[in-house]
Amino acid sequence: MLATIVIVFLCLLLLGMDVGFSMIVASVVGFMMRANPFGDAAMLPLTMLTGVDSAALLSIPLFILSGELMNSGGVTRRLVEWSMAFVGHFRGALSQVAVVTNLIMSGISGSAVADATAVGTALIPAMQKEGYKVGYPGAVIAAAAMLGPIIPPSIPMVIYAVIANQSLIKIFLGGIVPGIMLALGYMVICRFIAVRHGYPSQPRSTWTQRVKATRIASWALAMPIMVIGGIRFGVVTDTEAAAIVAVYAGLVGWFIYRELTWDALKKLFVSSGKMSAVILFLLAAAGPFSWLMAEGRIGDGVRSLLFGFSSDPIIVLLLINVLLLLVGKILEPLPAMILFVPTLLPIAAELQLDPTHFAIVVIVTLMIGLQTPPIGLLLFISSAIGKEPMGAIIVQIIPFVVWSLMVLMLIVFFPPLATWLPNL
Amino acid sequence: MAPKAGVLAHIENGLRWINVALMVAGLVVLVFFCFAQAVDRYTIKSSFDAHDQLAKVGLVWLVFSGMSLAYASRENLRIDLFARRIPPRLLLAREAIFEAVTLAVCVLIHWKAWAVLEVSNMQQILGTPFTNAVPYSAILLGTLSLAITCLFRLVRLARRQGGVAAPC
Repeated sequence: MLATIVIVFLCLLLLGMDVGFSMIVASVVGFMMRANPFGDAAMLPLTMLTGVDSAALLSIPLFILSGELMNSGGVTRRLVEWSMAFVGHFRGALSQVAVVTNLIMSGISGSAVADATAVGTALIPAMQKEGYKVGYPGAVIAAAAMLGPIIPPSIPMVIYAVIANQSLIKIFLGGIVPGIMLALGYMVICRFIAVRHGYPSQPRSTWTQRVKATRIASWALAMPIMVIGGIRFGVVTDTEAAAIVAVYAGLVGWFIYRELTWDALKKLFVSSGKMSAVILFLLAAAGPFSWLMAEGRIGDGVRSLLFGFSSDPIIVLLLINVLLLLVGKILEPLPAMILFVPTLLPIAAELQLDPTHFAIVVIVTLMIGLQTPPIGLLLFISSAIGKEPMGAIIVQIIPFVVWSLMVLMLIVFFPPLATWLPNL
Repeated sequence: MAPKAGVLAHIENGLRWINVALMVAGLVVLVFFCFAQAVDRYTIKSSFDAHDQLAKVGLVWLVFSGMSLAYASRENLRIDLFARRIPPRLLLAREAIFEAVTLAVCVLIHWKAWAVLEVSNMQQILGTPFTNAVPYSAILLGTLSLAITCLFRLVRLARRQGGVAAPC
């Protein structure tokens, strides 16, 4: 039965059916194969509802709303200007600014899509105007936006914590070092490529200009500190922190930067609502699917498959990496996480892997899928914003993907990179 | 006799507004109660402790109204590797099959959700005057709305197949 469900799901998914409904239809097929098909089908709405009726998921719409409020309220623009003041004199100034802005924004919004859209809209046309090679601006934005789900707060981390019943703040803190490593590597790549192609730099800002830019952007720069500091020191819960940041972003956009209007507010509530619903519906749709998977003891099958190769923790972790990288080729990170994490968690526990280490490895592995074809969502977004051909972006993003894979290997072999900060 | 295109558009528009209103209301409720929880703990210090229960009601409505809205405006998540590679007639056939399957699944969920609702109507949400039927009824409206969207798309696809121009 399990094989049939998985095959139906993959076929529907690859043929182009809605991701959530592919899971639901596969589950319906699974229910029909049971002894009491229509009786058991009552589990369908029940597991869908319980899949989203969780207090831990409340922060997801709030982080998405914060990202939208930042974009419409002028916060993103101030962060671009602030990054320009500090790294604008580097070779390939705009590509460096894109990475630094994403690094800061990822500390607020938690959504790679929101970050790519906001920074890409501002910087891809500017990079094109400065004569950057076709596909490169899109590649920089797609690579840098991957920092969103790695640096806290992060929507995939919230979902992982819910699925794995793990401490969210530990996972949040575990993402900081790998995120900074990724960002620094991307900046080095940007510099090499800029020198090779002669991309221009901006005049170096004076310290007076930098202080002024920092003063203006301080309202925005305070947000990541509020989120991480607030949760880390137990002042607020993650949900409360998300709500406070959403309200704060709205107030800053309205009263401080004065760029938020009623019209924009109405539109962004609708767009944030829809984006949140699309993400959370995956969890609802995964409810019956996961129930059938658990009933069919799929975990035992995967366990014996992996342990058939080796029982060495590092080898098994590398096999999990390969599995998830392949899964990331055909599946979005969130559904992949929803489907695979419950199966992989007992294996990680049996190997006595640190839960935070394992969480970060899984999240980084799946997020690399955002940068790689054919599914790479960030590639599609960058291509749409910059009107650049997808093929050119794929070629230009290769060095960034290679660095992402290197960071992943470093995290696998040196767990303290992910566990040092949470264990402080 | 098939309904006129104008009638379909009117019904879709009405449905869209209902979903927008419910989704935004869900989001506002969620933001309000999550924010109020922190404010209450540090300033008002009231004895009310069901902020997250009410925020979850908003969340469930947000998900099911928002999903049917996103589906209607084709902003749902799908991976289309073949759209540019297969002939238009095959593409239409694929769309028709997907819409029909989604419609059937929505009808099944809707039907089964009534039984869930009956049980949830007896489950009180702690600290509030509501039962679980308040959040759980969102799935009824969501699946009904999705089913109508799928049905209308099938009508339009049939018209296009028959050579009648249909508005998008």
